Amino acid sequence: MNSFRAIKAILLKDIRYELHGKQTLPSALIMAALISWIFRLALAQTQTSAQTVAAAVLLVGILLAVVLTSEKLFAMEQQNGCIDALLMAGVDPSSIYIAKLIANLILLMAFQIVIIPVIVVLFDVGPILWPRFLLTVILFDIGITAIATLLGAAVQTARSASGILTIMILTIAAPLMLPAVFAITSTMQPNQIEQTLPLITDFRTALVFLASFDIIYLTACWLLFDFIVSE
Amino acid sequence: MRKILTAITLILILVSGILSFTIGQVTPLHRNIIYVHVPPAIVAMLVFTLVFICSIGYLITKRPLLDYIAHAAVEIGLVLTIILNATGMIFAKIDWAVWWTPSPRLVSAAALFFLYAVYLLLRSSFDNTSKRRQIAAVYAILAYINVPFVFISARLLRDIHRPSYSFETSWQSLAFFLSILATLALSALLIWIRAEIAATSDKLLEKRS
Repeated sequence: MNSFRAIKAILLKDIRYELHGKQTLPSALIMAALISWIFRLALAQTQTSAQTVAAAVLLVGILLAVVLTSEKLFAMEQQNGCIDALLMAGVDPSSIYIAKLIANLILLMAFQIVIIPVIVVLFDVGPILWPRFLLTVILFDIGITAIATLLGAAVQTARSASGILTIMILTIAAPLMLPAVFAITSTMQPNQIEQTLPLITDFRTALVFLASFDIIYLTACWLLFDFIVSE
Repeated sequence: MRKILTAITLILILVSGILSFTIGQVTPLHRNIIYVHVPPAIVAMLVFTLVFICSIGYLITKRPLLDYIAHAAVEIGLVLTIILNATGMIFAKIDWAVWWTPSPRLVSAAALFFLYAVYLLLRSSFDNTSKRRQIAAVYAILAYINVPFVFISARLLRDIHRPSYSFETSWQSLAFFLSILATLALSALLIWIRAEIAATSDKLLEKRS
C-alpha cells in the first residue's frame, strides 16, 4: 500500500474517532486545568511570583496530556487487533508511526489552544512574545510526541500501561524541561530572565537544543517503531 | 576464567582499599569519599554503554544472551548510580551544607538513576518474554541517547560541584586509579554472575513449561 495513502487513512481514522468519541481531549483538559489550579493555590501563600512558575506548570500539563493521548491512540488498536491487520495488509510500520505521531500532535495542539489561555489567566501572565512562545511550544511538542507515540505503542501489552507510560515519558523528557522552561519564561518575562538564570546563554541556544533533541529522537523513534510492532 | 577475574577483583579491592586508607589518604578526611564516589560514576557510564551495545545487538540478532547481559548490566549500573548519588549527598551535606541541589552533575547523576530504574520497572511490567526483551532493548537505546542531552541541559544550571580534583601525591593518584580498576573488575564479575543466573533461571522455566 502506498505510504502516503496509508498515513492519510490512519490519521483521518484517528481524528474522526476522537471527534466522535470525545474521550481523550476532555480528560486531558480537565486534568491540566486542575493541575494548574492546584499549583496556583499552592503558590498563593508563598513569596514566589505566579508568573515565574507558569512555564513549568504549562509544560507539566502538556507532558501529562501527551501520556493520555498516546495511550488512547494505541489502546483502541490493541483491542481490535488493528496494528496486526495493518501490517498484514502491507502497511509499512514507519507509516503507522508517522500517522500516529501526526494524530498525537494534532490532539496535543487542540489541547494547548484551550489550556494556554487558562494558564495565562490563572497565573496572570503579562504580555507574551507570541511568535517565540509558539515556536518553543511546537518544538517541545514535537520532541515529546515523538517519544510518547513510540512508548505508547510499546506499553500496550504491559500491566498498568498508563502508569509505566507516564514514568517513561517523564524520565526521557526530563532534559527538555530546563531549556523549554527557560525559553518559554523568556517570552513571558523578557526583562527578568537574566536575573533568574545568570548562567544560561540565550533563547537561540535553547531552541537549538530543543530542535536537536527533536531531530535525534524523531529519527531514533521512527527507526525503532518497527521493533515495537513486530513480534 | 571467572575464578581469575574473582582473584583479580579481590586483589584490586584490597590494594586500593589499603592504599586509600593509609599512604593515599587525602585531607580533610571527608574528601576521601572521592575513592568511592568517582569510580562508580565512571564505571556506571561504561556499564550503560554496554547496555546500549547489547540492546542494539539483541534487536538485530535476537540472541537471549545479549538480553541477559543488558539486564544484568542495568542492575549493576543502577547500584553504582545509587552509590554515586548517596556518597555525593554525604559529601554535599558536609561540604556545602545541603543534601542535594540542582547543580549540573547532581542533576545528571539523578537522571541516570531514574533512566535505569525505569528500565527495571518496565521489564517487570511484561508477562510475555520476547515482548519484554524487545521493549526493554528499545527503551535502553532511548535512555542511552538521552544521557548526552541530560548532561548538556544540566550545564545550563549554576554549578556548585568542583570541576576537577588534583591529587597532591602519586600514592593518592595510584589509589584512585586502582579504585577505578577495582570497581570495574567488581562490576564485570557481578554482571557475569547475574547474567548466568538469568540464563539458568530461564532454562529452568523453559523446562518446567
